[in-house]
Amino acid sequence: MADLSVNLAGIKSPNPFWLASAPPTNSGYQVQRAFEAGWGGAVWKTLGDPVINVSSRFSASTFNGQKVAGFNNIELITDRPLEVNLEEIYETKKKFPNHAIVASLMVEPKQEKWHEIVKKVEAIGVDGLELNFGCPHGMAERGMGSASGQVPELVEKQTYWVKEVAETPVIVKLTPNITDVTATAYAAVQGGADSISLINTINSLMGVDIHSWNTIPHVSGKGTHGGYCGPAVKPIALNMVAECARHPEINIPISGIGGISNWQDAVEFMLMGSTNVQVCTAAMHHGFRIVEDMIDGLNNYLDEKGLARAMDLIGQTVSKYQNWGDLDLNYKVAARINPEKCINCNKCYISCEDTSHQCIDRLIDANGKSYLKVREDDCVGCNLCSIVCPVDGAIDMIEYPSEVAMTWNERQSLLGKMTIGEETVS
Amino acid sequence: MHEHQLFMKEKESIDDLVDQGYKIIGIKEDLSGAHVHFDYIDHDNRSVKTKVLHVLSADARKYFTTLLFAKEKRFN
Repeated sequence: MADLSVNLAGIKSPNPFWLASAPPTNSGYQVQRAFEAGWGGAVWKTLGDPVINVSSRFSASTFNGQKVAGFNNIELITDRPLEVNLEEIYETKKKFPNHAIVASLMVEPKQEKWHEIVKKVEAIGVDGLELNFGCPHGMAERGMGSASGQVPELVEKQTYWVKEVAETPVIVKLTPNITDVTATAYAAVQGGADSISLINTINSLMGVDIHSWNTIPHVSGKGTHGGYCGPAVKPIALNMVAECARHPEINIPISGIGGISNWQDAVEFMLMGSTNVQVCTAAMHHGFRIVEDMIDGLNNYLDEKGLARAMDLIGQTVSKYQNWGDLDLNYKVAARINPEKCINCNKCYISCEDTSHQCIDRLIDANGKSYLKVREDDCVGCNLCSIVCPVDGAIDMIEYPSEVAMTWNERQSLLGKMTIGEETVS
Repeated sequence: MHEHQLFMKEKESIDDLVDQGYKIIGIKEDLSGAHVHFDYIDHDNRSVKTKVLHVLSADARKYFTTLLFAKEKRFN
């Protein structure tokens, strides 16, 4: 049995699986149920000045029968009084002293506001603070959430204000609704953050009902943009985590968030630099007990890999994530169709012929039977045929390692030494 | 013409010149591809013949730079 415990900037938890600040962490009842199920930590639903939430809050996309491929919400921060939340945090921490409880906070960008809430929350005994600079809806209209999180100067300044009084580790939660997330991540570092967490939700409108012409969801016939999360956002989140992890000046631990639904997703985020992961949509879809599979899966994986500690995974893939210009131009993969498994559906042929590089031939064998064959010399290794193929193992991508590895940057450097004037061209 | 056939044709042209003793002495790349300048250097180190190949395919543009890159790596 591997050691699953993690330490995020001094916040210890028995495993890397935390619930993200969201509806699942709205109350002591829920967080205690989550800890009983096995979650290692929870970021309490954001505390701040009182709000009133609307009715009709969530919506989700279904894609080809996959329910909740993406999830959208227009719910704001907690609408319960601060004292009620603090009392429940205190009770929960008393019952589960070894589990991590982090309070998510959001107030107006004023020094005294941050000082006030940090002192009140830390007084009841939390393990850390997470500054919510990410929520894209509602609160942003009032200058909080992502409205703060999109301005590096505000991220730095507010983080600094919190650090002036905070005694527990400070995590800054980043919005993905920005061109370059490393700009705000770096601002958090400059402000003194102990950790960053990302991503918060992505601006979204789930849909329009083509019969009523209402937005989805709608509140009495009117809609507003929400925050998108769930499995659909995982690649976006993973890239943003990776960009921060490989940034030489962002050298604080990362808490990964965004579409993490199972232990494999968690491993990916940890390999890409996350110390732990935060989960919301998967728990909302399937309940708290999904963490049992996550714990078992991670434990078995670590045993198979011969790793003693979950923390040994952190960042192992970061150095493999490079700029495009540092990729080997001479490495090649080419598709090969396995005739024993191919069902001749022609999906690969159509996709290649219509939208890629026209390198699959439809042929007839000596017995009059049709078959598909890739002209491997013409194949550029785009992977499209294997992506659209409905049969596992029917198309293999064969690797051809390069004899002389040469990147675009190396090539351009070489050309720079050999470029000649235009007049010599004949 | 399939991309690979164009590449093979251009590779053959490059290889022919290299086999004859030509050396790549300059390259100009523009929107139309690469113009690769070859010189034949005689025993007195004089450039006696010049050829220019207009290389179109991506694989051939990669090929001649790989030849140069491999050579440079050998000498470094």
